[in-house]
Amino acid sequence: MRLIQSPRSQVSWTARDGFICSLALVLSSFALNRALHTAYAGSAGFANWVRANSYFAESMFVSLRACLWLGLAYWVTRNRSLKTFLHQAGFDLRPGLPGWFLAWAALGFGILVLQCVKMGFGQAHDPASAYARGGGFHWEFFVIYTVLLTQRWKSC
Amino acid sequence: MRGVVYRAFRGTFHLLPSMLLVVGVQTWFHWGLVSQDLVALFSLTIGGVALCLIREHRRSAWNCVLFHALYNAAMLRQWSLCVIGMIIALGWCACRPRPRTDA
Repeated sequence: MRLIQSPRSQVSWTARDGFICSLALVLSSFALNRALHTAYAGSAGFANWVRANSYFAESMFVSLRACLWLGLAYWVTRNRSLKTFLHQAGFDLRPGLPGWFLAWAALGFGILVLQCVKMGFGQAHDPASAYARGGGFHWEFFVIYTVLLTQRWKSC
Repeated sequence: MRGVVYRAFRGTFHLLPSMLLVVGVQTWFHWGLVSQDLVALFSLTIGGVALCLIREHRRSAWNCVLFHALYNAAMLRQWSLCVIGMIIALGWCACRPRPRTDA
């Protein structure tokens, strides 16, 4: 067992924070799903809106979840300021050139996974084409949030 | 996940247990997919380990974001977005902020 030394202004994050944060993320995700399910079942207006704008609604839901997770992580880790939080989370520095080259490796890895699916080693999931059918704005929103925030479908 | 949860686990545990815990949490969030597709499970695990290693060796968590974003763009077959994104990212990665000079 070891602890990372940090300046006085920072809170030392430990496994306890990691477990609490993980649990908070899981529970918040579950609660958000349940709340949406209840709203969908209980409100005809909401259900109609979701049916009419299903792609946009899902994109909004994932964006909302991302904001909620960020807020929870900040709250759970007990940081005194947003600046300190960003510093400890590693978001106060730009990525470096090694990171840029590693991103190309990610692209290669993604192509490799796509090839595996193409060769029949995995299942094809194609939400991208479904979103594309949803229209221009839906598609752009989908690409932005999927590329930057999440990837729920690992193989298309 | 890598920014906070992994860093928190690393505050107490060594590299391997921290990676396992983070990949475990990550798998929970993708359970619907990985439970029925071995390729997805494989790519998720390899990707998760790679992200943890990047976070371990690079100070900035933006490296992980860049890695994940390129993987996601590849999965969506957004090749033009990959190229444009990488050109913008190169400028961002290569330009160092000027040191502050107090007048």
